[in-house]
Amino acid sequence: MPNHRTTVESIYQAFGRGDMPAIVDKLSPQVRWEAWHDHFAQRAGLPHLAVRHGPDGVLAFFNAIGSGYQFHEFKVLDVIGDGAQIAVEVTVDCTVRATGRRFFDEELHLWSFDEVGRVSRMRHYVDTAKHLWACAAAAPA
Amino acid sequence: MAQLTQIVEEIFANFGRGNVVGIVDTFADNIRFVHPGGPDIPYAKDRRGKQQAAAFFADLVDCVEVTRFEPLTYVEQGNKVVALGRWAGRARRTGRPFEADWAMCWTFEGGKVVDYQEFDDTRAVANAMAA
Repeated sequence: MPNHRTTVESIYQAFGRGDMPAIVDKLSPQVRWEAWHDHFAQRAGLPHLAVRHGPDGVLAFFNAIGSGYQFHEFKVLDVIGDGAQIAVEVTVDCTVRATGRRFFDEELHLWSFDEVGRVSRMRHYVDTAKHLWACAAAAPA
Repeated sequence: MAQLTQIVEEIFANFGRGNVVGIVDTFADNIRFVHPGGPDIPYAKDRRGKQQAAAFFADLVDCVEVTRFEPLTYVEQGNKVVALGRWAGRARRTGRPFEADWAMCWTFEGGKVVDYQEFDDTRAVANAMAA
């Protein structure tokens, strides 16, 4: 089994070349994408931070960011950890196509793995206020 | 337990005790201390140096009564520790409660924190602060 750090690095490389099958190949059939107890970006309905399940749900996530956002720069700053969870520091500079609003964010991505080395959960830790602004989404109650 | 994770745990223990001096003692003189959130969250600033970093804790207490602070997981490698957890509080100005998951990335040099970056559900906090 490859170590989880190598798996995560290969996922970002695949994202960079737009190779979705290579990403899906690393996912558990039960992968939980953006599984949170509560999250104001989800309350506001931001598509790129919606709860998704399974590889088809993850493909829908990548479709959402591909169609909804223009990336000016996406940088992986560091990949941290070698255990069951891997944290990735990322900077993102992008424009939301629907609003024309451009924003820069420092994010942390958390990857969790199952017992056979497949991605079982992924979370984006982002500045949700900034993301709601960029999407011109109303703040949820 | 890894050595740097122990330092972060001590920082959290001192946070629980209100021992800001004990926290700042672990910081390098040139620390970059970043809390996101923009103008809706008064304590959310990009700070430089020990003095500005220390002021964060007074600014936070001015704005928020922290009712729960719960570190859940640590990921350490090399000179970095990522802590993941959840907190709850009440905005003092409005009395409105909030809860949010957080992540913190601590970077060390020579045993001192040189970079601190927090990640938070900032809209959850900003909503509580809004009248």
